[in-house]
Amino acid sequence: MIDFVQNTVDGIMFGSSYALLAIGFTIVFGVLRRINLAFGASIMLGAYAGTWLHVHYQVNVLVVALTTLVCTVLAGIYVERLCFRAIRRDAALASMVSSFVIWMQLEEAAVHLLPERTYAFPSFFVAGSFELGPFLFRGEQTTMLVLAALMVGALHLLLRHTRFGLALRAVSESPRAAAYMGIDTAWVMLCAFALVSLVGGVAGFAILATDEQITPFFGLWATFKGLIAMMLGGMGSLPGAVLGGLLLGVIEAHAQWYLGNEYKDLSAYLLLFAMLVLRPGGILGQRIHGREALAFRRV
Amino acid sequence: MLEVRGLRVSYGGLRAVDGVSLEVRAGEIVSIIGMNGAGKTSILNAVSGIRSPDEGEIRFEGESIGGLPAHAVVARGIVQVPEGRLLFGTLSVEENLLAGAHRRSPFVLRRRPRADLRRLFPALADKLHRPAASLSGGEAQMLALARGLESEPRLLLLDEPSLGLSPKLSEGVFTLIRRLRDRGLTLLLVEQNLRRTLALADRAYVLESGRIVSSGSAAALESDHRLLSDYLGTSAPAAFHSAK
Repeated sequence: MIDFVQNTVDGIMFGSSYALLAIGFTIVFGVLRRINLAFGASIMLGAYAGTWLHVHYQVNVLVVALTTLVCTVLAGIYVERLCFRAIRRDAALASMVSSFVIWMQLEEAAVHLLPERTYAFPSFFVAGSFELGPFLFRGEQTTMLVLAALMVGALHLLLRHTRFGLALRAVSESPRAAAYMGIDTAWVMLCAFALVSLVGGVAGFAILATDEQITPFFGLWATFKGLIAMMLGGMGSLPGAVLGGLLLGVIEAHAQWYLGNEYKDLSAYLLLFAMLVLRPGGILGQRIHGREALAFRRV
Repeated sequence: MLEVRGLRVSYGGLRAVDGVSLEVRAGEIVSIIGMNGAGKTSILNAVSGIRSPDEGEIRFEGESIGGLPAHAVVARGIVQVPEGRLLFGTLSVEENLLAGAHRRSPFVLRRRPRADLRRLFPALADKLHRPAASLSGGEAQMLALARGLESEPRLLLLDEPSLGLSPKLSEGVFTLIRRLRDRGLTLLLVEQNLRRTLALADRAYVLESGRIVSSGSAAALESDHRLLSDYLGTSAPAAFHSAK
C-alpha cells in the first residue's frame, strides 16, 4: 500500500511535466485545429542552446534555464511563421507535414550544435528532498511539480482574465468571428505559439534538470509524451491536458515499479490504445466536442 | 462618412462585386438590397477588411481604408455584425461582449455592471453567465448586435439582422436599429426583408449581379414597383402589389 501511494505521488510529480507538454500541443490544436509536430523539437533546440553554453562556457544553471526558454520561444515563432502562418487554415495536412519536416530540421540543427550522444545538463533544486510520514518527496520532482502548478495557474489566469486570453479563446472558437470583432487573429496565433513554447521550455528544462542529461532523442520523447497525454485527456481541452499528463505519469510510475523499467513506455502506449478504443475523444474530449457541436448547431 | 468608389471583389475568378460606388453620410441608415448572391455581403466584407478588394477605393472620414486588415478597420470605428451572427458559442454572453470590446479593453479584463445593456437589451442582462450557444434565436441576434456595439463604432455594418427570426422578433430588431440611429450611430444595412428595410432606411442601393442598378431615397424606391419586381423577383411585396 505504501509503495502504491509512493508510486502514485512520484507519478503525479513527473506527470506534471507531461501535463505542460500536453498543454503546448492542446493550445495550438485549439487555436489552429492542427497539430504542431515540431513542438518537441523546438524545446530540444532550446535546451541544446542552453546546454551548449553550459558545455563551452560553464554558465550558471539559471543562464541555462533562461537560454532554454528564450531559444525555445524563438524556435516556436520560427515554426509558426514557416509552417502555420504561410499555409492556409484549410490546408491542415500540409502544415502538419511541413511541421514534421521542420522537426527534422530543428533536430539536425541541435545535433550540429552538440554532436556527441549525451551531454550533462545542470541540475536544479529549489526544494530539498524531504520525508512526510513513510513517503519520500524528492527535491527535483517537488520542484518540477511546483513549477508546473505555477505555470498551469498562471495560464488559467491569463486565459480567463486577460484581454489576450479572451482573444485566444475567441480565435479558438471562430477565427472569422474574432476578425469581425477587431481581434488581430494572426498576432494572436503568433503569441499563442510563443506562449506554448514558453510553457514547453519550462517543461523541457524541468525534465532535463531532473534527468541531468540530454540526448538527441529528447525531441522525439517530448513529442510522444505530450501527444499521448493530450490524447488521453482529450484534444483541445486544457484541464484534459493536465489530467492526461498526470494520468500518464502515474501509470508509468506503477508500470515501472510493478512490471519493470522496460514496460514503462509500453504501458503508456497500451493505455492510449485502450483509451482510443473505449473513449476515442479522451477523458474530457467528448464533453468538449459535444459542447462544440451544440454551439455550432445553435449559433 | 463612408465613400466607396469603383469597388471590385472576386472569389477565385468569379466577380462578386463589379464596380460598385456608394456613399453613407453621417447619421443615415443606408440599405443595400438585392437578391441572394447579388454581392451585398461582399461589399460589407470589403469595407470591414475581412475581404481585400481587387480594385476600387474605400474611404472612411476622408482616410483610405481599402485593403486594411479587419482589426485596423475596427480600430477606425467601423464594425460589422456578420450574417448568421457568428457568436462565440462556448463563451458566456459576458465574454462575447468583452470580446466585442477587445479594441478598447485594458490588459486585465474588467467585468463591469452593465446598465446600458439592461436598457437596450433587457433579455441579455440576466443571462450574462450563460454560454452564448444556449440563447434563443432572437436573443442570439441581440447579443450579436450588442457585441458589435461594444467596440463603440461610429459606423455599424449590419448583415441580414432579421434572418431566421419570427416577424415579432424581427420587429424588435428593427426598432432597435431605429433607436441606435437616434443615438447618433450611422448604419449600412443589408436586409432581405424589403418592405421593412425601405421603411427604415433613408436611402437605398439596389444591387444586381454585383452592380448597382438603382439608387435613391427609400421612399422613391418604394414607389418604383416596376424596378422592384424586375430586380427582386416576385417575393418582393411591391411586386405583389403591382400584380394585384
